[in-house]
Amino acid sequence: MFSYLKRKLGLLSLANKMNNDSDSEPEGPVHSELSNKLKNNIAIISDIVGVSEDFVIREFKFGLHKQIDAALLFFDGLVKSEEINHGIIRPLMYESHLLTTVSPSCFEDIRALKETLLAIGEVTEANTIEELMEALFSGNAILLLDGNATVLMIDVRGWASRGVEESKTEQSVRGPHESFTENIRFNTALLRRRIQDPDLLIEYLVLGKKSRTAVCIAYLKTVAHPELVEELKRRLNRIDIDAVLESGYIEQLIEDDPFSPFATVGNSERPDRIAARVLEGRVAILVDTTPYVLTVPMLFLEGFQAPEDYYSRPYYSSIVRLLRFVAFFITLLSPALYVALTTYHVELIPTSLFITMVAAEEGTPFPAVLEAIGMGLVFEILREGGARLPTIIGPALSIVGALIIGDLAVSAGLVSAPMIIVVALTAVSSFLVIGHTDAITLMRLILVLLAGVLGAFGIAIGLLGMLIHLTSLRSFGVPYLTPWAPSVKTDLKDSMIRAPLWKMILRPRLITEFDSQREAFRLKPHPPENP
Amino acid sequence: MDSLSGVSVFEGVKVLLRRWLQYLLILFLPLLCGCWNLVDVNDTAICTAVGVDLTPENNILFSLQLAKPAPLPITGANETQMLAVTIEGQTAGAAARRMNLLLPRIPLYEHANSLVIGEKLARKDLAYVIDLAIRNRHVQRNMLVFVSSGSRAADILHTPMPLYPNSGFGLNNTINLQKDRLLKYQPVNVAQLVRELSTPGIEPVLPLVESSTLNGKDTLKLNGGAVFKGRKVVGTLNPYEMMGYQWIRNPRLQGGLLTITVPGSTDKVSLELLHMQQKSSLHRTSSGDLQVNIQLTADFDFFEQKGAEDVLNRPRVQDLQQAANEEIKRQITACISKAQGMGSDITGWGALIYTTEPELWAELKEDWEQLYPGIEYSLQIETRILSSSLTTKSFPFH
Repeated sequence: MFSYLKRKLGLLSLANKMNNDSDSEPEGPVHSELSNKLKNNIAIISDIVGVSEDFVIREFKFGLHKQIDAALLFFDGLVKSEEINHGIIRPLMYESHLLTTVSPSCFEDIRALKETLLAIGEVTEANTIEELMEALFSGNAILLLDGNATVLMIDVRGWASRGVEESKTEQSVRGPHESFTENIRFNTALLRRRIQDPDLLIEYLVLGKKSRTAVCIAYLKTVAHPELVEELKRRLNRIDIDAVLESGYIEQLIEDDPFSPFATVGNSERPDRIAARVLEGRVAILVDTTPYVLTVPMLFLEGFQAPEDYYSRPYYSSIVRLLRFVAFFITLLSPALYVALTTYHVELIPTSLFITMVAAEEGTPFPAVLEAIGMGLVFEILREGGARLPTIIGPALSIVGALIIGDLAVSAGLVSAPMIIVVALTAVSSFLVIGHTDAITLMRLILVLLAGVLGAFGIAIGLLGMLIHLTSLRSFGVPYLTPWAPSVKTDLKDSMIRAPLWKMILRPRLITEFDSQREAFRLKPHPPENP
Repeated sequence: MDSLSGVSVFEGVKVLLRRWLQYLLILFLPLLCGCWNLVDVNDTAICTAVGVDLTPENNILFSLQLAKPAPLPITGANETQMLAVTIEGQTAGAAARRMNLLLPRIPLYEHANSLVIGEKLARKDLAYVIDLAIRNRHVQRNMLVFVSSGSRAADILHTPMPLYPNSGFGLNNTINLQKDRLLKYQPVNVAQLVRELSTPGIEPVLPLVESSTLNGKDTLKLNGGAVFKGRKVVGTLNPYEMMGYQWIRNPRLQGGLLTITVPGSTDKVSLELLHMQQKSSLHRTSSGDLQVNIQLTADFDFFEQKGAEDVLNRPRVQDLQQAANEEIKRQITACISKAQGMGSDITGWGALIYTTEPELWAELKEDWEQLYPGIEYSLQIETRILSSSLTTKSFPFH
């Protein structure tokens, strides 16, 4: 049943271009015009849709003398039944009697219905099967009238969806707790509520031949670089894929360097975060059916930023920001450094520490490199297990992870205790730089291997390679390492530290070119001069 | 790739292959060089002290003190966790390598921080060991050097020290702690020793370490200094003379205790050194002879009084300062006369002449050994007692 449905739909949508707006003219070689016979139209449509259980054809008569045949088509579950009942059927069947001033035959023209009776916000006309089918699948009700080759597409969309809830992945102590949902309408509304300015453009397009996923790009007209928007649209329009099930699909199809371990497209499920990025001149890509919104361009720095940095006062924010950089290097380097120090550069370890470490390492069967890789692997397994685990089994995993692997491995003499500490430190630090976790995991492994082969020299080579790669990266034309390389002095205010809000006058230089002043000068609060 | 346009597909493939080959070569580079200096911690033994001595056959007796790490959980850090091993070899390096005939692990010399030179070797020739100490990159330059007194270096390394897991680190810690608290011995590390050995006009003095007993158990004790002349020991300084040596060898000092007798009494008073500044300069007497002028300013804190007399008033403090002055003078004089008696320029006056009047040194250096005992010197010492540890009176007995 569904395969047939999809095949039909696929054939139809193949003819359409990706940038099809729901209310714009479909472009395609074949336009199957509707006839003015109700029976014929219903036959064509039910032929295309097939025997679908959720497809409803409601036929009824209305008019002063019940002389007009009409049919209402919709998919059960995609529409709100109250609106169907109270906004369409009820006015047509009962309230049309109340309009005594008009001639009895006036309802025979479908345009008159739209103008007088239908109590629904968004009603549009359609003349072709393609238009009609697309509206039908996206949750519109279709009103057909005998004797009319034009149909009405009535927007009564309303399907079951999760409400706005607290973000699970990006929590904060201070700041809004709501997060985006799977419903793109809610998401655009959440964004719109934060930027109530006509400058905020939300452009709509449809991606995915089969999924027909609604995608919105949101940006500030006067702030976002026009070439950036143009380039993004070009990359989006390139996408020719059967389905877009999550924004990750789009991310992977538009990113600058697909082979880099570092992400060049940012994502977040926090509306405040996305709003802040849009206000800095970035472009947000909202995708229906996922709460994760993409932003471009993405900088390396963004992995170290958190919304709370801007809500708390600058001292604490700066300390936390610095801490994240420290954590980045800890999580990236600590296993590699441990391996290098214990196998090549023992003279660099303070003697008493070294003796303790040797005492702990005494009798462990594996060399430090294998221990580091093995324990790193165990941690990744635990983390992956924890991420996919049903919450009910969570405690069991903690026990296995903490007790068996942590404690017993040491007391059984399989792994040395310092190695467990290093791995634990690595793991905890990695949660401070969530934005770069995937890249760090990969780089850490490479660095451990290099450290095992070449010691500190290997680490230096690895880091140098990483640095060269990072400097060569670009995200939508913006160098990945700004504001450090290339160095943009004014943007350093929001990098390693976070300057006071009244000092952050300009928007990031390399992202936006126009309207770069975001606040007035001399905003620093002070007591009144002459009370 | 510009080169790809306008060439045949075959050429393009070749270019592509070459590019990938480069990457592959770089990728395999780390594997080629292998794991050269890789030393697995499990195969190593941490060396805490190195001892070098001489056998009657003129071979090197090489000793190592190894840390024996306590297995986890550590039962007590104060327990002795050391093991000393000794082996003979024709050279120090050869003996060190021969260590692996009886040791199933690789000794890690990087953490050794005491080098004990046996008395026998020190009296024979320091050149037997110093080359290894500076040439071998595993030997740390900040390793402190001692000379054993009355026993072989191996015996010193076999002797534990109380409250410390091994005597190698114990010795190092002891000499560093006493410097700031007692001001008796000057720690000398390999780098300093090498510098003093290679500079004409200055001779090293190394602290002497001897076996002693504490609560019926063997332990180590610092006792005096070994005076070198050239490459061999020619005599010793006793602890009293060592203190005089401290005053003239350091341009600055902080910490340390000076005990003096209260003038006109048998009471003793200890003064703690706050800071000292010393400068030696070269002068000529009216008769044209060379004279070394030592200027020394020392500021003290009144530390302790053995007695009940109220000495903390202006005239008595003057007396105390005078007594301290005399005491320092006595210590320095004792040290210098001993050195001049041995003909070993531990005061560094030859180097002083070399830095201030190089032409004169060029004339004198040949005969410096004979000239040194006759060099005149003068002492200008200024001692001040600055404070009395917030207690301005002596204890009011009644």
